[in-house]
Amino acid sequence: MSEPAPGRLRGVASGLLRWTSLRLRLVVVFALVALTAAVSASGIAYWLNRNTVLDRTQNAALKDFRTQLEERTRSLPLHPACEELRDAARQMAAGPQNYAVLLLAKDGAGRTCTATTDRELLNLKTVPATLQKAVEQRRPVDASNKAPYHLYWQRQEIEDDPYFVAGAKLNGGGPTGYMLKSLATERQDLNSLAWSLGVATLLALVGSALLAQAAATTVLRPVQRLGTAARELGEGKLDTRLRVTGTDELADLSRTFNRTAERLQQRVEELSAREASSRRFVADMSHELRTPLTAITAVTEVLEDEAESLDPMIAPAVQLVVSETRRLNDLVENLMEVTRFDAGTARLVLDDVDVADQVTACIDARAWLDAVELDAERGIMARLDPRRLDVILANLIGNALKHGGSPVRVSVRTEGDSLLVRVRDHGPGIPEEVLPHVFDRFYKASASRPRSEGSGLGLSIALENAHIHGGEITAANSEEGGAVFTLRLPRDASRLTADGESGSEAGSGASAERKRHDGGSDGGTTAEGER
Amino acid sequence: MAHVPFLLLIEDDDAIRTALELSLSRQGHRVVTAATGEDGLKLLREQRPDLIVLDVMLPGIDGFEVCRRIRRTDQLPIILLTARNDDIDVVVGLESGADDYVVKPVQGRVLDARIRAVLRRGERESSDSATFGSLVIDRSAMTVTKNGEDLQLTPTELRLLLELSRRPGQALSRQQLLRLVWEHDYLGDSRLVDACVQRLRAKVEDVPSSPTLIRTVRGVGYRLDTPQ
Repeated sequence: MSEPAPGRLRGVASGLLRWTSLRLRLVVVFALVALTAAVSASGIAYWLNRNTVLDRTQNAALKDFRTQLEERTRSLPLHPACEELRDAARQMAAGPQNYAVLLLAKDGAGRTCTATTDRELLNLKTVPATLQKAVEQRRPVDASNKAPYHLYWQRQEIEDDPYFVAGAKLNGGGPTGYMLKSLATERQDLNSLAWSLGVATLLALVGSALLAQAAATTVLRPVQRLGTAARELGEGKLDTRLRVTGTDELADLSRTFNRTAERLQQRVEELSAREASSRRFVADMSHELRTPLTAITAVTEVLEDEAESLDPMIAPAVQLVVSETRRLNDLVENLMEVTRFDAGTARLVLDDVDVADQVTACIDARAWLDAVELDAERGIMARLDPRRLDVILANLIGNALKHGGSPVRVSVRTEGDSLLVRVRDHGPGIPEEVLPHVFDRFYKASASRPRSEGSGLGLSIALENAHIHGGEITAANSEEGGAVFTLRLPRDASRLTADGESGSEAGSGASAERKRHDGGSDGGTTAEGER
Repeated sequence: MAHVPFLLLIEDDDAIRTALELSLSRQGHRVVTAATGEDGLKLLREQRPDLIVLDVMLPGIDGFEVCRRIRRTDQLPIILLTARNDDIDVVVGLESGADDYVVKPVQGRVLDARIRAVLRRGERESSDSATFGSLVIDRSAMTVTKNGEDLQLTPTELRLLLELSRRPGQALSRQQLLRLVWEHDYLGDSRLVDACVQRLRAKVEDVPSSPTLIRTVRGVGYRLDTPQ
């Protein structure tokens, strides 16, 4: 929630991308369902309507036509004159059904007389031949067929207008009659019905899309919250919990999430508590070791001073006690240093120093001047913790001297805002398989290696000291042979301390423990390293 | 100094107390010891030692409190023995008025060197005087007066003021001051300088939070100025 604005924007964008597909799918499915339903409903409605409307119109027209044909032609002679036929047709067409009439009859002379009320639309050419044939066909009369002639009808289009055509031959001889009724009105009605249904379908589609959106939102918002919460959990905010509302599947999922997060948090707390307690144990242990060590250290000098005057059998024993006490001191010091780094209580005490002077002092204090070639110009100033730089240098150079062999070459360069110190030896180099582990604590290149003089913490401590400056140490093999350790430190480490003003105030808090305050009198002994 | 340095060692752990007493005695000091802060304060009043070596972790009143109580009345040098060299310990110790500190386990030789260095700070070196505004430093009497009033300075504070006053207007780095005053020739703790400057300012400046005499020179160190 405290994310910076750009991060939140990015989050929203990626969130949108993530949800689009699911949302889209929901909308599409909803729309498809709505479309199918609406289209089938509309289709059925249209079809039913169409049939009803057409049937009604047709039936009314046919009924009227049949009656008219019978009534108007009954009065006609068997072979009526054309004039009479025309009159009859006109009378038939004048009815309320408003259709055109065509009458066919043979006159006395045997000629076929045609009488039509609409010469253009209704003549023998426009009446479909199949209809004419069906009308003229005489069927044998039997039990199921009471009359030789029947009334036939069909729908046809003339110049894109719908028409209804029917025809019949009077039973017992008489004229043949056809009728033609325009279905334009019905078509118009049906068209507007189709339009309305179309609009309704469209509305249903839009409605379903909106519904889908709403549904998607109600479903996806919890999912999105879940996603955000999961992301936060992944980023290490283990106290992330979801608000659970309702009893649906998503609420269930939220509850599961909360339970998982809780258990994860418990587990992590448990683990870190266990780790903290083991760290505390190491720290306490090294503290406890210090009390007897302090007493022993204070008196070893007394023993050392007297060693020469002691029995030659006892003197070596005294020497051994003295030297091993020193070693034990260094080991405990290193252990304490490591616990401080692990506990995060290590702090920088910054000062402005000339790096070349620092390197020289480090080498000088440990009497390494003969074995080390120094390539550093005076005047390279840096703001760093001089004691920590000394620890790093002592460990790197000491390690090079122990494992690489002299001459060890130390060069100091600047590169932008960084300070580069290279320590190169002329030994056999570091085996490839060991290279990734040189900074590991207590790492021994081979299990069968003889007991080392170092504590096994030297390079690890050097690396931690570089890290606390915001720097880095890398190990590599030189092409000309020998190992190269490169220390890279920022020239001004003050941005890493809580206060940039650490120079003037003693109680500033940006201060560090002092490991070796005693003027380097035990110089060189902290320099160890394992390869 | 002609006479044998007389030390008071306050340390609660029997083994360490015995070992340090043995070691310091061999280095030519006269040592009295106390196991608690209360005993130590009593011995201080009765025997008037030249210097106190004080353990921080003490039962009852701790080393910092002992240090603060001593400083209310006395300006004699105090060297802290810290078992835990964590930040807070050192900073609190220096703020409560200690002159120097050593971290356990300490070699007798090193402690001896520190003791002698601290004691040397009170020795007179020249016999002139200098004036900085209302502040008068009399190098022959080893006294500092402000507006005619005597200031109670510890030997370390006095030595720091003397070293700064010897180079008026010239900035001295913390490492230089550590060499000159504390005689730490290698990797001294710059917080010793900072803490001592703070205490000195509290005594000599009109307004310690905006110093006009002992100025901080960013990126370098400290400088003593004659106020304008």
